[in-house]
Amino acid sequence: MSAVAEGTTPLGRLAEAAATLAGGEVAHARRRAALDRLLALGLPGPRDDAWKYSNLRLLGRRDLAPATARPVAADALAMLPARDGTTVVFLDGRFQPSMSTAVLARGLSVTPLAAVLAAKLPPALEARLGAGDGIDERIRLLNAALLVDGAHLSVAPDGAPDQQIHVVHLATGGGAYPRLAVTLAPGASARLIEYHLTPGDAETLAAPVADIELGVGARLEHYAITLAGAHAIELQDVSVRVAADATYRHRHLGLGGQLARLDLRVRLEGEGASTQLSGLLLAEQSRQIDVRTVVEHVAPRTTSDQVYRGVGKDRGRGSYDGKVVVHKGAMKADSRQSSKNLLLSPGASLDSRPQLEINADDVKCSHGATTGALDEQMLFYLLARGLDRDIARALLTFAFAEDVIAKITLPALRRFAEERVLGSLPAAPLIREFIA
Amino acid sequence: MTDTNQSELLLEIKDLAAEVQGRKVLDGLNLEVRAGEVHAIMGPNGAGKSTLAQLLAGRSTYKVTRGEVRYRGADLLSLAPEERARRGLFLGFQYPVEIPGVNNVYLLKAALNARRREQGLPEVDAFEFLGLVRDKMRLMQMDDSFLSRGVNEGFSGGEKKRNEILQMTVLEPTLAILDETDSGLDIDALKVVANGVNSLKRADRAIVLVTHYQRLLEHIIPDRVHVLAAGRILKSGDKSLALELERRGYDWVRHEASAA
Amino acid sequence: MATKPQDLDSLVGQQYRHGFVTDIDSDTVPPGLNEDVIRLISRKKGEPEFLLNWRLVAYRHWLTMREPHWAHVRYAPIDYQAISYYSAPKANTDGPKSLADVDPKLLATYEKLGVPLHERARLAGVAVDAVFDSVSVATTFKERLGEAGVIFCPFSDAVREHPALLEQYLGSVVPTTDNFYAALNSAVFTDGSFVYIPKGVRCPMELSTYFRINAAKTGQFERTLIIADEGSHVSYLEGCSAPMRDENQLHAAVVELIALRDANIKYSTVQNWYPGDENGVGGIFNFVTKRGECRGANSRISWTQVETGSAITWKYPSCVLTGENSVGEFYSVAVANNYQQADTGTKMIHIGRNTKSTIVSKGISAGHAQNSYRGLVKVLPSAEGARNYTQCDSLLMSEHCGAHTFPYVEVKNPTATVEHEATTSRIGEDQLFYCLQRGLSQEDAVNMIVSGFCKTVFKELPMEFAVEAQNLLAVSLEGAVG
Repeated sequence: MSAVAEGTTPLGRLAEAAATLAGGEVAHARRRAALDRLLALGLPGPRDDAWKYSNLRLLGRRDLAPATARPVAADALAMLPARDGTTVVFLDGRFQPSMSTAVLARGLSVTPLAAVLAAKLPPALEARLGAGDGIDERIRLLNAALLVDGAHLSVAPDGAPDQQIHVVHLATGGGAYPRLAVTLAPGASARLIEYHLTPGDAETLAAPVADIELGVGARLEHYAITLAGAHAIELQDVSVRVAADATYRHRHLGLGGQLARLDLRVRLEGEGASTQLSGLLLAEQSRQIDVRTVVEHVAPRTTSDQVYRGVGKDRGRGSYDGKVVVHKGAMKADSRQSSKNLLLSPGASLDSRPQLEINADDVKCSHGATTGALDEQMLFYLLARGLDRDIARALLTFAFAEDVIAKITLPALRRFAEERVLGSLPAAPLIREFIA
Repeated sequence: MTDTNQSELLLEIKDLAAEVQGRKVLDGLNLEVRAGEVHAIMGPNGAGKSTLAQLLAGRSTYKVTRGEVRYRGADLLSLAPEERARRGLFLGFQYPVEIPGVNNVYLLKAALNARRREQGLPEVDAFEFLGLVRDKMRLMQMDDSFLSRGVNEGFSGGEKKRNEILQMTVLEPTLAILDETDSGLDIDALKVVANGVNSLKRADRAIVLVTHYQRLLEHIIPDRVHVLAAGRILKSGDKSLALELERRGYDWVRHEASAA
Repeated sequence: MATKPQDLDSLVGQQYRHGFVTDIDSDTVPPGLNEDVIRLISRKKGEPEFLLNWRLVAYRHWLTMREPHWAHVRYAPIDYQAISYYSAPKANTDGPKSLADVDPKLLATYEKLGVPLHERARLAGVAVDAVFDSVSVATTFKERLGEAGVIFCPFSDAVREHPALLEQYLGSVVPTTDNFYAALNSAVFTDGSFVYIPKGVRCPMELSTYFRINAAKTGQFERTLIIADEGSHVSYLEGCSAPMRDENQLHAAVVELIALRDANIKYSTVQNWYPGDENGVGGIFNFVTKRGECRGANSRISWTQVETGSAITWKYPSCVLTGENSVGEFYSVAVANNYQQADTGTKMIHIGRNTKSTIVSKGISAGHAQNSYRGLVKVLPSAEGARNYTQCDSLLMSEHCGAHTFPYVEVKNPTATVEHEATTSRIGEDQLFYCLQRGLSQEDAVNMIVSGFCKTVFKELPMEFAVEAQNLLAVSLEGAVG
């Protein structure tokens, strides 16, 4: 677009990278359209209220072009908890059949998108591949402008119930822009577990986008576990539509990354639809974690429940910005939000914005937010029973995180998460015993 | 107090004054507790009973402005709360806090081992400990589900109080201060709690009951009864004083004290 | 309940009570804004050079600013050139010297508003400064206050009589560049109230300013400055009203409070600007910047507001807690009915050690109204031991209205404790049924429940205002539940 943009600015480098991508005329035109729109809007800056807590200046001079997948060690996935079911691996945003498991559970289909993207798609799908309906158009445009691959995961009505689908995102350097489309047929149920890793701890930018649709009465438990290294920037965008009586759960564990941002939008479109969202924001060292949720109660008798816990240590920054919107006519909507923050170091900061936008009268909505140090009464109780101060503090920190970890229903994953949190506390072996 | 009593002086409070946020809560309190004794501290609401209990356990909310407290000869006020606990001072809380996510039994085991280390005794292992705690749980009529729960998590008021006494029976303190342990208990639970306390009476141990009803004292017979009001001990006597208080209320003690 | 349930029958058909126009000759400058208009205002006020320059700096900065649009309100663009920036009752362009000089028509106006200016008619405990359109028309009890050393006068008088205080404090809490409306106000403000409480003085009576917009096509831009010197106490009340007109009128005021060491300022507002009619036509745009700074240790600033009027309200009375152990409070009831839009709340900025703040906000939405709470609690790294508690409740009374809550909590000190709670719900069916079963009418029941909902805020108001607030609430919600 403009000559100044090219080369030196992140947007300029994105434009250069987009021009060189393969995929044929149709894919190229689609990317160009997204890029033009993104160039017109610009990348979000610190003056943009919604990006106040996400510092995109970190993009600096780093390479943003979709990486040409570098080889990774065969045991790159070894650090992950044991996985049942299907594993789908993306290496730098591209589907990696050799690392994925071939055996599919009954009713599950996995379609890589690279080939699909070469052709013109029905208008509805094309629209979703562009700006779509996430919280922030710009993340989606960024993904669309550099989109080369992704996967469509779908579970048929007769699919095996509660099957596990593991999606592992490996980033080795440069950019990764995969697109996931997930469809659960009416009555279907599944667990989708996404991991984000950067083996080799390279400088990376990942902007994975997911569109999820739940049919009537479907159930999805969706985990997003960020384990990326200290030089990884991650901008996840998830948009979910939930039909009548369906339930969507999202469990976020922000345990890694330099800047890890999640934009999660859930629309409760059918009567009786419900959603439960939770997250642990472990903002330690110089990590920034920024979670933004928008839950829309569109239909009557919809319920939502959000539980987010932030732990701030060292120079970490964490923020939770959760908005609940009750649309006109969404009678008997019931929504709860709990955001609690624990600040452990003078250099850390935690921000919380639980918001309510209510446009119907017969509703029950509440939120609570607290920020502070460890609970004085709990600490005193433990000291009065003779525990060391350091142990007591570590123990209470762990118990604080446990509020959300306990919501993990996969035992192996729960143990994994607990170990991760323990790893950041002193005297882990001692504390391990206390876990209720 | 008679000077013929040769048992160890466990707790000695001299002219203790304390305030919380600039407000006087204790003002010239004196008290001596010897090994083997059971004391009851009674008094109207807001008299400073809980303040005294929490202060002795080391709660930093209260600022000592005057006086001293000696525990087994050492300066108690200079010790951190965890050191006091390890040296055998136990506080049964009036409102035991819930700590979700921290296992009840492991807390108890850690507490016991912290105390044993202080005493130069070997730590107990998990197996040994479980045997011990099961015995005590039977005494307190607590079921096994308690083992897997978080500290006081979701406990009813009565369960919390039983849990406090269970902890006490496991930790075998030298000086136990039980703050309103009887409040919120029905008559059956009260008996269970009293049994727990009575099982602990020994010549080398003292128990201080903080209460404002005399009904607990029907089950745990005190050697000394003190009336705490306006931040100090206004009157002391034997168990008959508790009955008199039950009959006549607290006002006459105040009048008597102000007349003196 | 402290007050008797309203007799709803007597209120039926009673709409905005203060919507009359006073027929009085005014000296009004033609609509439009440029440097010449600002010079004219400054000349009419006989201002010193520094103040004119201050206005011009503000104006030039304002020209570079854009109107803010982040609030949850909607309105047609404002034409700032179509507004007259100065209007004053003709006879009194120089300001009245005493009540005897005040036009009897004006005195009658305030009488009608329930704010009699004759001192003997007025409650002995309250001194009043009455601001009519752009100028102050009367200040009562000046002498008695003077004996205590308290300065309470129209802003224009302060410009002439206390320029040193003004130069020291004006704009020190809300700088001219603070925001779009504050910059506009700084450029064109015409009058307002000035208060100075000397060291160690407890102000002997409540101070009150009553603002009245009368002329058409004018804006009102008043400026209030309250300085509480070390160890002093003051309670200040503010009331306001305007005629019913089909056009929207702009009110962009700035209030600055400064509390020095151990000083205590209580600022109460009952805002009853014309809210527009039941179809949303007309009404005041109330775009106001109010901020206090607890500059000295142990100082306290307390804002209490009852907001029932205005077509649009955009205001966030705030506290900058600089001094150690200083305390900021915000108690608010905001009622929005018909097509009213309110976006109001507060900012508590904790800078000093052991600073404390409390926020209690009660929002009531009815009709097609939009009512938002927007609040920021910010704890800076220096604010060791800071504490905040926020309680924020919304009551919904119609399926067409909106109730929104936008809290921002930013904490950068690990010893701080910040708690925020919010609820949004419909008026409780159980409570309503209970009252009806005891024989109350629907309206009485609603009124009782609503005033119960607001009680924690009302009890912060000075007595005279509490009654007025209660009455206003009933009138504002009339017909809201059916």
